[in-house]
Amino acid sequence: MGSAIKRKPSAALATPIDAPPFKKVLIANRGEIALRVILACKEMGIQTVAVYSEADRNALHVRFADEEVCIGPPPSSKSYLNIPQVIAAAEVTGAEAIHPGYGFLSENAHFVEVCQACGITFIGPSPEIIRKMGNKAQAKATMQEAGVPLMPGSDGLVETVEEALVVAEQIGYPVIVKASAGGGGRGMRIVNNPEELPDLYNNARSEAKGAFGDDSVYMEKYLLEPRHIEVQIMGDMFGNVVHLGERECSIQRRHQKLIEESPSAILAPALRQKICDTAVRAAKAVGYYNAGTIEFLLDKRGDFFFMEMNTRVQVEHPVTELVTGIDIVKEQLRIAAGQKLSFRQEDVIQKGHAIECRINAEDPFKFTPSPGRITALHFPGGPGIRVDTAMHQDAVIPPHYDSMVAKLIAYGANRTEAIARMRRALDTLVIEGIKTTAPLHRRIMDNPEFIAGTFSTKWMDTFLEELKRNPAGDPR
Amino acid sequence: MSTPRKKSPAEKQAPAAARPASRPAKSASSPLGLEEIKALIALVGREPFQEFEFEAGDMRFRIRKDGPAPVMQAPVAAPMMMTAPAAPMMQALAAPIAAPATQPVEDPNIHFVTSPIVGTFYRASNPTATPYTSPGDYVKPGQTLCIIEAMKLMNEIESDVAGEVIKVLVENGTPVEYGERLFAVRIG
Repeated sequence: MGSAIKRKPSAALATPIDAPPFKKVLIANRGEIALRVILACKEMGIQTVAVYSEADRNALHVRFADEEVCIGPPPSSKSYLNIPQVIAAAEVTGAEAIHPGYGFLSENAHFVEVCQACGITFIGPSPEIIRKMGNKAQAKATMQEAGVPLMPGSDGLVETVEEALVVAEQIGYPVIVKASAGGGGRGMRIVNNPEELPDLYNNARSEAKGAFGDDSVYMEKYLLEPRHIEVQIMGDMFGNVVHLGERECSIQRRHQKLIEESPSAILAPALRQKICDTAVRAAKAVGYYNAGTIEFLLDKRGDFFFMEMNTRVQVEHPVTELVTGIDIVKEQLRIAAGQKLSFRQEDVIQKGHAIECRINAEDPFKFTPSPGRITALHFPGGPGIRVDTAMHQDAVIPPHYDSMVAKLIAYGANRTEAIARMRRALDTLVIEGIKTTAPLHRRIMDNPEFIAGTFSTKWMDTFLEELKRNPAGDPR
Repeated sequence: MSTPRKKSPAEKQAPAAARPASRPAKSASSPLGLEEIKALIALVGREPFQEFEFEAGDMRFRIRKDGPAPVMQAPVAAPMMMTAPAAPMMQALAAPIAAPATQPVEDPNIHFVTSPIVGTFYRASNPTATPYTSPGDYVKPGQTLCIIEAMKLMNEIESDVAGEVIKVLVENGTPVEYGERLFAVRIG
């Protein structure tokens, strides 16, 4: 008899150095981020509860937590997204707080409300903030009020050529006409001057009609070589908000980030200051607390525009941790427990350079998923290398969840050293049994444009074309 | 079992909610004699209510109708109460069957009823009620076997097979996880 919810001998912890902010925290996630939170808890003397689906019975987050609760079958809708199961697991184990990680329930305002109703602390911002930032229109309106620049565009649909000409004049050429039902580039036209606008506007509408059965279109400013720049912010419940500098995440494919770095290779100090100050102002405007990220698009001329706010810890938080020396996850736990930020803005100094490569279980050049069993595994080490992963020898990557296998993070005194370390880390990384995107990252690390830092969010498309034309090189 | 569990306010409310048919009776008079109790049992059997509770001084008992025949059980502080006549028999039945049940994995006739949810396992509708099922009972599909409390809600867990309950695999009041085995049932 007895319960399968096990408490392990390791639960008898050494005396913590500081008073821990919580006694016991449940981690409502899986994979590397669940492990990342467990590591932070271990350092702080907090007991941990892992929840898992039947597909993750042998996962490392389950193994390294003090207690474990199986919450459902493999599909995430029935396990990691199943609110009653997660809450019940917290109740039966007596966890005081839940860390949601990223994805799954991390930006679910309803889940936060359920936590509150059950007397469980949610490690993140309030449901009101999550809701506000999760709704695109409301987020934009809030940001506009706070004086954050938005992407100039039409106010709703543009119904005639005449109207389109007026709007384009207001926002400035080039502009992009987009189908409101759109996606995949269809019903989309880039317009450089008023002469070509009428034809292109009509083309976009008829293409939208054909593709989506809906010819309504709207207009936005078209950014030349935009870069994805985001700012890490942290706030406490006393109204203190600070930024931890920016991250450059322009190397992406279909809006999926592949490589992130901090600081950005191209931001001049004055512009960095301006973007970061804007982010802090935006966060203060909504009364933000805990960790969050404000994403901007930055154009060639140094104009930047609000894209969205993520109200959770980000996948790419390690690059910020390495250059600032601040443990974001531990700070999240302290803030959720009602403590003041443990540092001030003037204490945050970006030092050196960090790059993260997301190693996915995918074909490195075709991007087809490659789930399966890892038959051999070796992670690189040495100076300046950090690996955030939940993989192990003989681990099976289930087909039910995302394909990330590991985050390889290189730190150097400057960007050149960070790239050099990333290269040798990729060279000494061994993952056998599945295909991974490591060889693609290795190619990128050798690319002159990447090394020069001259890339935009569209760079990956041209790079992949180039790879197709010239598949030689070293696709390990 | 070693997992600590938060005190849930619902635990105290639940019994009241779970037995709307109960009629607790309190009296300051002296304890009843055996004959009077017998008469009471007979009375409860005839009347349309399901449960009868009696408390006087340090004596307390409850009569509850469980199925067609009125059954009486002995709760706290009532050592003089008679035990249900079926109980010793059930224990006798359970004992020899318990041995094979420890290694039932290979037996295709043994079905395990598993928990569909995470929560706290209760064998009865309230702390003093008769368990929904005990070893030796024959159960039908859809018959309630236990309750699992999750998020202050009492979830009735039903049998998915017909057969004889041969073992209860979880202790009353302990946490269970998804897929955990609760009952071993010999199909038939």
